[in-house]
Amino acid sequence: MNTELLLPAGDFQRLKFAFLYGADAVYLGGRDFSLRANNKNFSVFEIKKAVEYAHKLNKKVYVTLNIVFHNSDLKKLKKYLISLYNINVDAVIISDLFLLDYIKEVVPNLEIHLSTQQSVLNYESAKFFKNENVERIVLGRELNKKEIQEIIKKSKIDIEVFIHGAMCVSYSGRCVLSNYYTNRDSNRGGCSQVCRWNFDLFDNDKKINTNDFKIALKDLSMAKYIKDLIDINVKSLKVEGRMRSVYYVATVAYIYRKIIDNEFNEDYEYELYRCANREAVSHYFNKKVDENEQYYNDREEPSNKDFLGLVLEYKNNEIILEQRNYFKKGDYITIFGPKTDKFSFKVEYIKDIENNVIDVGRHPKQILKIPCNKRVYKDDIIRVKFDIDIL
Amino acid sequence: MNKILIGLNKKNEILKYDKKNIHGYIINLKNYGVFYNLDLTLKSILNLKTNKELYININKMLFNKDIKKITRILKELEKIKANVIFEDMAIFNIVKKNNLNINLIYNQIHFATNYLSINFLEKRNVNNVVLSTEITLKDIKKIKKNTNSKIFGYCYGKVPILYSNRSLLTNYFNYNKMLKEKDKYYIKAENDSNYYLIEEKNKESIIYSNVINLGKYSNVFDYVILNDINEEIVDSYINKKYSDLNYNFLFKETIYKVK
Repeated sequence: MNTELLLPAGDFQRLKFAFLYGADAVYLGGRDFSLRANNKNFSVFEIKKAVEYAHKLNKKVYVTLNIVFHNSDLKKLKKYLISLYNINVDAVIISDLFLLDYIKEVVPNLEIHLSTQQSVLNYESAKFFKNENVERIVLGRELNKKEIQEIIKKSKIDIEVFIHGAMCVSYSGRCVLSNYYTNRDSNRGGCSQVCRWNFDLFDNDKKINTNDFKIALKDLSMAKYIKDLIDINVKSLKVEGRMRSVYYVATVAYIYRKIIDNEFNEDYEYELYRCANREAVSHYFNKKVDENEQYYNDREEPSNKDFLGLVLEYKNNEIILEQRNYFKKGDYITIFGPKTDKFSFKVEYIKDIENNVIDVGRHPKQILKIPCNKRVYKDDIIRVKFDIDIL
Repeated sequence: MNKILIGLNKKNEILKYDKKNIHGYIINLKNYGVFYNLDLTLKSILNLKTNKELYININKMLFNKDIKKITRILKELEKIKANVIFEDMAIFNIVKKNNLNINLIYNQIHFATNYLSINFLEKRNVNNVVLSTEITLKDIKKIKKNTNSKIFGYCYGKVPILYSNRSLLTNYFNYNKMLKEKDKYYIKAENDSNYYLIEEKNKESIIYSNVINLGKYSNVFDYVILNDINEEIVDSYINKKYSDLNYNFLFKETIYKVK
């Protein structure tokens, strides 16, 4: 069984990079009915384009339909489902129970995956959904290896698990802090991430904390345990993050592809950490969770400046690139890509598009040229050289 | 005429409330029920003497290790004709697979928000649903109009607004090398006036809202759930004379697109 690497796609560019860097499938949201309501998301026309693009590459597109519906959300649903079916999406990811019947009635051949929002955590619940024609279950994130294995063995349904990205502190779907603090409906895509706020803690009327009370979690990274997940027959390995950048999508896809196809390398964990800028741990997979999986330090997450640019072309021993973050002559940089093994070198000069020599690339999206003796390819990623990168 | 269900605080309150015009009691099955105040073992539940209906709350998220035990418990609860409030669809599957004659009440917290989901359950013979506490009165009325199921509503008490598998209090106290003296504290966010209860129970954590009190709007439900009660509150719902109302989201539609 080939294990699928499933990446998020917040827009068409991120979808393209996910596939280019090793994803077998992507999941994306339409303009309605998706839990990332404030992301750009895809129109039906854009989903059609995405599906055509993916299918040409023999890859798949799953569309999230994972809100918990209110009565007023039901209006445009039928038309939308028919559109998704007609444009050949590979599956929809749902959480609201009624969709199991509704899809059967409206578009019976549309494949259904059950969202982690349902928090399936045992084999009996998995069996229920299997009997309801669900093809795949995205398990809750509170399970260890043995529990996942038992669910797979006893329910005999395809299982998808999260391997990377941000975590909900609650059982998925069981948090409405956002509703109560900000009037934004978390189960319809409005989550305002109240779990990342700081609180004071009171014993009746008495404030007892000196340090802020926090409930935020570290991110998930299963890089070390991919082989274990493949060995227990997990069907799909899912990365969280439809709001994340193209750099994040490309890096995470690139590294997990390498782990799936080859083996784990300890440097990968650092690279994954750098692209998200957040500490990541394996949470429940191999231990009981405790304070070590939570964030208590005041986190500083300055926007990530590691992503320096995208390769547009390689010509006459020069890279033509689109700049993303500040770099200057004399800096050490690293390049990697689908056909380019990671390598690092010093920037000897920078030219603008008119071949004027400049000292600094400081304008995002500016077209620049830098010298490089090694062949690189369009859409390779240029980033800051880390200490772990070998010159 | 709607029926009143109360979440007991203590077992001996049965003596007092058995004399009142209420329909039944909601009791957590110890280690498997959350959100209500009284936890009883199966043995205690089986030995309860009351003239009211029992609604046994088994709404904890279930793991593989729980399934066999829950199956045995459900078979025992069938014998006393207890009603079972459930969250995890595993419970539904166990009841169906074992052909148990148990009246099930679906209470997948925050999920019963539209009439089609309730009708989905009705087709599978689950004819009782506890509605989400985050929908409007208009939504509730539309659900009532479009379904034949019995509709249960939280009308008084704190409602759970976060349910986590993690020991959020213990973790915080351990990290900060502080002594945790109890399992219940309050949290307050900066720039927000609310003090929300956070409780650690069975190594899990729950954060609760302020006390809601829907008063006369409880009439919209077939079954009225009162939790965190005292006699005065129960009498106010029996006599339909309410005070200190908090309508929660009844007249406040949540948003989700902010652009």
